Amino acid sequence: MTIVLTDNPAKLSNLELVMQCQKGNSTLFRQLYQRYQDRVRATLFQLCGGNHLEDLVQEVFLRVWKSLPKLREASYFSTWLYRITWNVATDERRKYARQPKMVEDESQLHQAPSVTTQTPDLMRLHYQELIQQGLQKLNLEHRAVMVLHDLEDIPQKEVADILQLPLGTVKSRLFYARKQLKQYLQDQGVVL
Amino acid sequence: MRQPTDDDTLVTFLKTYQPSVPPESMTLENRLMAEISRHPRRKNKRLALFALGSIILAGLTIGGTIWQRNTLSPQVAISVEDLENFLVEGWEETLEASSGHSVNDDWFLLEDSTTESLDTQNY
Repeated sequence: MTIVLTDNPAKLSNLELVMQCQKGNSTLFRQLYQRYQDRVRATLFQLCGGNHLEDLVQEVFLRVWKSLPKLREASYFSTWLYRITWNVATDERRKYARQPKMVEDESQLHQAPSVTTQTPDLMRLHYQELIQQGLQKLNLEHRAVMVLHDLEDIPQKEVADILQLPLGTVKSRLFYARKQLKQYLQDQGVVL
Repeated sequence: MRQPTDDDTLVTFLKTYQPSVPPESMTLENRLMAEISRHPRRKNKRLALFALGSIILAGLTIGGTIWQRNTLSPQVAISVEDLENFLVEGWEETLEASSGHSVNDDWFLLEDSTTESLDTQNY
């Protein structure tokens, strides 16, 4: 396949960009980072929370840079990137599991949120907080399926590829994750 | 039009109120690029070794095939004499192997018995 490089890297297609980065073009890797960092950042935030977010994003892209030559199908990049993101998230969980749990975090999760007498902006913040707490209540495997499918709009088949799971497992995890989150939100007074 | 299910309502709620991601720090991109410059892409040594190994293996295979053809290929008798010699030699070797003594001995025995019979006839 021949690729005609334009002067403006922003005009390069994702596929062309990935292939150039595979060849070791670090200048274009900056462009690749700019295109994909939002997704990686959002996914990591939903999976691991805001602590160490910057470090985790950096870790993902560092692993991407080191492993890019091993990626056989450049068109598979997006799925592969999410898989690395998932690996970084699970590594972070392992690291976190070895540390003693922060008492404040636990207490935050069990705080009963006040629902009534709030202005629309506060209501929005309140709902955001509830969703974040609800997601954190799910185990990481269930949360990952939900974040990837329901928030990142990734089809179930691709989620199965990213998490290296059978499609049936993804469907079942999605079912239980939604059920659990719905129950949590209803318990907090949210009417869906 | 399809009625929204409970799941659809939940997903819409999640998307509407999903927690906002903290903004990217201004320094992250530069930190990452600095980190990357410390990890320059190395030539793939494994690939080079694999290619070298493949070349050597292919050379050995081709050389071996050529040698085998030149040395071990069946020789075809081009004249009737060659074929006759081959058959005689083969036959003699088979007999020697099975009887344990040389075929020439049998020839001598035959020759002796012929002379003997001739001698008796002379009588």
